[in-house]
Amino acid sequence: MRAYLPALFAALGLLLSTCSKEDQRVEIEFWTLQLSPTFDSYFHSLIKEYEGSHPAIKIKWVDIPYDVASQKLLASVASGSAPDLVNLSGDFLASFAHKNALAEISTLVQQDTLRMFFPHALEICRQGGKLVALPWYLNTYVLMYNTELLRQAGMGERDVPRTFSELVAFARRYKEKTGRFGLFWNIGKDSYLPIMLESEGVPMIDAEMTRALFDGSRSVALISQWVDLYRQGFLQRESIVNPGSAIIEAYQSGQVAMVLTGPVFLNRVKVNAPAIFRRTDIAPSPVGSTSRQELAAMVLSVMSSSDHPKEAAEFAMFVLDARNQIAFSKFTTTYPSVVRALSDPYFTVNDGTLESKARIVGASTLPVAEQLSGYKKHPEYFRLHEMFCEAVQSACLGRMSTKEALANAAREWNAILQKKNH
Amino acid sequence: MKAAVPYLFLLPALLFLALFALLPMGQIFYYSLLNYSAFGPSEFVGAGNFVRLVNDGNFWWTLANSFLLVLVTPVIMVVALSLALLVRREVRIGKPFRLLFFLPVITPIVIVGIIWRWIFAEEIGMLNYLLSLFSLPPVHWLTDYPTTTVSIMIVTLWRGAGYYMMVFLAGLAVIPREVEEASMIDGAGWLQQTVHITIPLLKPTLTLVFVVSSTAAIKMFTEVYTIIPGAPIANKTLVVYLYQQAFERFDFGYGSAIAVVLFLLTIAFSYANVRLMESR
Repeated sequence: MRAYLPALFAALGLLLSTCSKEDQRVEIEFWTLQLSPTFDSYFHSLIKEYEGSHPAIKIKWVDIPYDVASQKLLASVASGSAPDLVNLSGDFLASFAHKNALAEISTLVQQDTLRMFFPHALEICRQGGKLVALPWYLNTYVLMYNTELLRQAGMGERDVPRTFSELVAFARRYKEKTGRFGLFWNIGKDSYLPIMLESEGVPMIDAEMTRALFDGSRSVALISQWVDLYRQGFLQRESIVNPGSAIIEAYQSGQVAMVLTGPVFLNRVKVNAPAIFRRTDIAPSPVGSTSRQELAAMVLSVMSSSDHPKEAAEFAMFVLDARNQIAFSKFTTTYPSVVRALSDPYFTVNDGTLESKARIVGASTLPVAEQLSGYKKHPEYFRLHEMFCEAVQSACLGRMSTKEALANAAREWNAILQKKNH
Repeated sequence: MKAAVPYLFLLPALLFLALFALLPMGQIFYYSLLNYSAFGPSEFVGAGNFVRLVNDGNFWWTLANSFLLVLVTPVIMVVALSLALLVRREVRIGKPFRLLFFLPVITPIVIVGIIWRWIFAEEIGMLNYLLSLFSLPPVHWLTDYPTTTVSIMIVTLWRGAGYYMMVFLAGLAVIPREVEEASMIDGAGWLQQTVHITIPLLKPTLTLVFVVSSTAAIKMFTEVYTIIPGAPIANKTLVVYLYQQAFERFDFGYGSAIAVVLFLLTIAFSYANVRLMESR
């Protein structure tokens, strides 16, 4: 037994020295939104590589469900256990930035590195003049349609709408011809109508965010087109209550011939409904009279409560590096936020598959796509959006006219906007 | 010292109760007096949040909806008791049916929500298809208020009946067999026996089920959250409104004020129920 003792002590000593080395490392807690377990291998190798080149840093990766992201983050802030670096949707930024929960990131990274990002994507990260995040993966919209259902309606590629007015006409014509629904688009819950209005050149809110502008005659006319479609039975009844996720459900179950969605969802159709996938084709997203297109962004923010903001920002820049973003895009079928990454053949060369066509169609809009709804920068964005959605619902259900519903919502908006600004 | 022994045994449970129930309740009462958002300092506003509640239309609508859902309680009780009486005697046939009726209780609520959304779907759903077979017009289960409340009641009934059936079965098991047999010897039929012997002897269980199911109806959240997520807030329940204020808008002070009102109303309602049931 005695002979083993020196070896035992040596092993113990080695173990203790390893532990103490571990303890000395700076731990960066990094939260992502619903990326595990699908992308575990990507993140494990990314973190391993970073820790290998930064021996003094330890990355603790925590993945949280998207639906409860803000609640979880809020709870962590309240309990003093907030992460150092967090992945947020661009939509959540305003409420957290307004509460000073996010660090100003321009003081943590070199200014010239910011030039690598798409300017519109970077703009999403600016709140009240401060840069509170860096853009990560992006998404834009394409039109996904079922060629077989169109053929059965006596329609073809020439009938695929290019503008929102044509989209309205398509929904009407398709139902008249087939008795089935041509399109599923959320107009009530998670309404996309603000995107349509902005693309038509009608802003939802003034530049100073003090007054709602969607109750004017032009926006009433534009929204009335969709309300009439609904009231006359050209859109599914659930178009005003189902969440955004219902769009792809309606398409992959063959209920509708066409949806406006992100290219990222093509994979889901391929897995869940291979027969529908084989009949699917892709076209650019319809636009309004200004041709402006919507950009959705996931961002990375350093929390203001972080004890290691510099280290967290440095790791963020590693995650956002063009090479890592291209690799991530290949896993997720999203788009990188770095301009240089978009010149990768993955986003430019059509290999004949539908996925690559969708990718290229979406990528072509990326340099010009932008966050159209300016009110997303308002700290009460979700409340404002909900009021607008409920107004559209009331109009669709015939409880009041579109004009009256929008006027009421605008009045409610103005009460909030003026209270917050004065 | 001997008198203290029972309390010592109770102590661990009381400590847990104090830590995880009484203390948070006290905190909620305190937060209801604050303008508190978890970010930055809070501000004492006294009864300000309660004054805001009185003038808040959504509060009154959601409160009314919560109490409207209590209407499902008598239906659940009748269905659950009927099921319990059906599966009580026939052990061989009853067992699989007990399992079948209990299945909705153990089905995850999120899955229940998705399945029922499909059943209620207004153009392609099964319920409206069945109605169309009888040439009946489609019902707007998911979009029209107060039909949406009826949809929630249907799901509550589907989910709750099996659970309360088990509670009734436990209650029925302790009714002395001799009493029922004596009534049969005296010439009582099944119906007479059930109405005059079984149900009166089940009174404690009936009181329990009524109080538990009606307070559960007032506190309804998940069914509403999963089945009509897109309905306007005024068509939902008070607990959903509480969740929205506290956890979506981070207005913890106002959310706590709603919780306090809900707590007091539930206590008052339960007390009134117990008194009413005991007086009969």
